[in-house]
Amino acid sequence: MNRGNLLGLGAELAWRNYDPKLAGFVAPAHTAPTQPAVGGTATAQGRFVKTASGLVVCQGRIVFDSNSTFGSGDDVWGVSLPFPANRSSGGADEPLGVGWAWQGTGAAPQLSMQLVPTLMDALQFGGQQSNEDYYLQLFNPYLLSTGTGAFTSGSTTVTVTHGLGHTPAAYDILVVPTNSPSTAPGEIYVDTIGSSSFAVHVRSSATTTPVTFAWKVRAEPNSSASFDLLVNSLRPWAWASGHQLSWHVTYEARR
Amino acid sequence: MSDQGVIGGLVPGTWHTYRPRMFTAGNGGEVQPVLDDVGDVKYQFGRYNLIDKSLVVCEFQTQFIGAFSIGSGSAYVFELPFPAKRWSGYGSEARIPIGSGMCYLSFYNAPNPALNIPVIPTLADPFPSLGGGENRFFQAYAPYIYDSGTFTFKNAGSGGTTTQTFTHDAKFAFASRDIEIVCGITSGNTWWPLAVNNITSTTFDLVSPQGTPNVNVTGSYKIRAEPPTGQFGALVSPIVPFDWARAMTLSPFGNFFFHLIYEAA
Repeated sequence: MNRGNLLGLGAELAWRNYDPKLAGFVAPAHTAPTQPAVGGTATAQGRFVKTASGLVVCQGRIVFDSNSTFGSGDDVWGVSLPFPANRSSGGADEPLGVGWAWQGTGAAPQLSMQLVPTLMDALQFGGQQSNEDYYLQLFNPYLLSTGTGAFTSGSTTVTVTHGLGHTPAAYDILVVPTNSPSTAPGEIYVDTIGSSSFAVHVRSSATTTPVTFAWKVRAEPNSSASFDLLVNSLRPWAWASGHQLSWHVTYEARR
Repeated sequence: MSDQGVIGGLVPGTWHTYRPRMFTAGNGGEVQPVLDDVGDVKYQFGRYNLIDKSLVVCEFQTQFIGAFSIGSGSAYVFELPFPAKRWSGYGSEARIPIGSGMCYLSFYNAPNPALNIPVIPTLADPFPSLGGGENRFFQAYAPYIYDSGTFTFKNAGSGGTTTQTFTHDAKFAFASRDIEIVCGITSGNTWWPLAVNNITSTTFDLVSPQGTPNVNVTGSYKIRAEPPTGQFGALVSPIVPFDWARAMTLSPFGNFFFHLIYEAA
């Protein structure tokens, strides 16, 4: 008798493992990207429960290591599902659960960001199409990069590499001077903002003790890059060994 | 008739309430929080639906309200209605999201913000203080640590110097890039830009290399700090994602909300 509970689970949930795949997708007519590779010793784990009525609860994580490569030229990362999904409205962008991008306890700082998983947009993967129901994509609420910098003796300009693959707005950039230079710098400002770097200027240079600073780019997605709301090899940050991408979703399997 | 994959027929009565509890956890020496739950007024709320004896859907709310104390320790852990069955091995640290959550400081008087920070719940790490009982608890990861406040950078006539020290409430030594400084009234002389220096767990210095302003200049700061390194850096705790001591008896209230799906052991 169906008392309204999920059928077929039995006394112990019938979790089954699957190997989640990470793939780079591009918009139609774009050049096929270089695919990411999790790496032989890195962790890519997935498991799922599928009920008789077709509901799938799926969890998974990818923990990158030194063998991992992250691809390039991609618009969006897709994470494979154990079963293709049945979309609710013929489109996408309805949240399926929760995602998480995290740099791990060993990172300093350990950047951590909640992501929103949805079914994949109809994108291309190496020339193939129509497989978007097999993947989820992840929305990032912002892009994040941090670092430090310093002017050289006598210089009024320094270029900072932010590495986001996205052009932030000036208001996304925070520059904080961190010392008392030998010459008062006057105004400090940024310009020449591009998809990989920005320039920091002072009005007056210092010779003996130039200005040092810390910077943070916390950029709202602004369409400066294709699909910049979606996680890829450079979003929400430049991925590296030790970083983790994980998810917990509930969706309906395609019949 | 197939229900097309939707959780069908959850008839009334299948939800069960339970009294959720929260604790501080770590390597020992924790001071436990005290939650107020006086008489018929229920500030701590939990309910769950146990699907076929195995899958637990749980809704969880605890509040710092009334007579409470936030305790001290490396992390907050929150009690599940049933012990969980971990995926990657009993006792292991299994940092898989099990739902969604929110740390919410409600009814905060303006101009303070109504802090509302999403957090990610996972099953609890095997903290020594839990004595092997970590499967009964979950923890949560915060995306950043927040503090804000005001300061007055004094002119020389008020005893100000080019370096002035101010207190903050982030409770750890954040990075310079985590703090934004905005000044108010304009000084009649050139004294900016300010540098941030010598950050400790309670104070930071503002440095004006061009001298002091000719009037006292008020300003405000916002700290939105990326979590520090280490096991406990990003974990929701008495000081993450903000100092929960901001919560007060009548307001603002400190709330923890979670929605979980996990497998019962």
